[in-house]
Amino acid sequence: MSLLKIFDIAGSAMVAQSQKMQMHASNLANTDSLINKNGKLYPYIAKKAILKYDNLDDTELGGGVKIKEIINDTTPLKSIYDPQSPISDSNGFAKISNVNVITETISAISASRNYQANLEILNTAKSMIMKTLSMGQ
Amino acid sequence: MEPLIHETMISTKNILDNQEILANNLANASTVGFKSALRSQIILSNNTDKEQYPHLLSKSYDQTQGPFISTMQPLDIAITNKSGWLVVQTNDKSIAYTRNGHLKINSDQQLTSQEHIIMGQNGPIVIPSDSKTRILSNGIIEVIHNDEDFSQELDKLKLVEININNLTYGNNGLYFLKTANQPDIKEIEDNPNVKLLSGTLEDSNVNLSENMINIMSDARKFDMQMKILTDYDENIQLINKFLNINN
Repeated sequence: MSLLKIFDIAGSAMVAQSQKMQMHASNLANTDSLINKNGKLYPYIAKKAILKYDNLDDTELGGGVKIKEIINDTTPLKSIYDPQSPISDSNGFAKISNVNVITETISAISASRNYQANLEILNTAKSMIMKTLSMGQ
Repeated sequence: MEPLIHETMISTKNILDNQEILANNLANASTVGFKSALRSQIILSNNTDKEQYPHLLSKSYDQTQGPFISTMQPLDIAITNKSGWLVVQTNDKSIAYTRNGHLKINSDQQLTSQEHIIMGQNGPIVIPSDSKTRILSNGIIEVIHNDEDFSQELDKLKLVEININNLTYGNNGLYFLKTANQPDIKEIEDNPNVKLLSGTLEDSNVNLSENMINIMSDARKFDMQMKILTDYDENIQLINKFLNINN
């Protein structure tokens, strides 16, 4: 039933967008975090989500979407003069995270709106199904 | 709990904890011998790149020397070593450390700092009444007789050397040993390398503008977290409405 296929497509988009939103929230939360990896401290590297077309069941009518992978943002880290930082070098310069709060906030809003748009599609499909079911009454 | 809400919760909690540290720094901007506290938010990574919490708020102290203020008072001392400390006894007889060298003599003629009894080589130091004293740079307290013609050694201040990051700041303005790190160390021995400046006080090393800016930047970060939370909450409300079969 093609109306239920809409549920799958919109559902996959909602899962992907809410994961994307979570990633942006995590980036925002960690703007000045340090990562303890094997006993050494590193600045937090921003994460980026790569979305990919997901052909749910090989039809030509289209498929859903999924997060292909989460990659590290390759924007170079900035150095600031902060001799008190636990990761500052011998000259007193410390690397800081490459999270850009503006792009993160806006991407999070955009992901949220995308989620809501897919939810509207779901609502429409749901009311279509409900109308179909009440056809003979 | 939803991962996003959980992440936001930890982050806002850390921001508020940091505000507390910054407010305490600002409150002690003119406390003698106070050391500014710094914080860093550390993620414990388990090498999988996912699930990177819990965040850990680790507190450390700025070790730089505060500026010296000359007071010309014989009982004012400043410790010139970065990690030198005076030893005091708190009211419940436990040992604490302070760099506050604004010494006073209490009603029992004992030498005190902020009402806490200063420890000498053999316990509290009792200053004879009606006598002039001076404190030498190695911590020896001398009683002066007959207009500086003749002086007599009374006691020596107990001066110890501890890295400040092995201490924790108590609410009463004193620093205590972190017992978790060194459970076997009960008492630290006197260190003759710690030197004093008499007639001087060490001012707090708090950088006012830096702390103010950090407070403002934290307030903005808090707003950003709340914005994400509101957006997500709206989504949850919409999906809950969708789940309702009647509309």
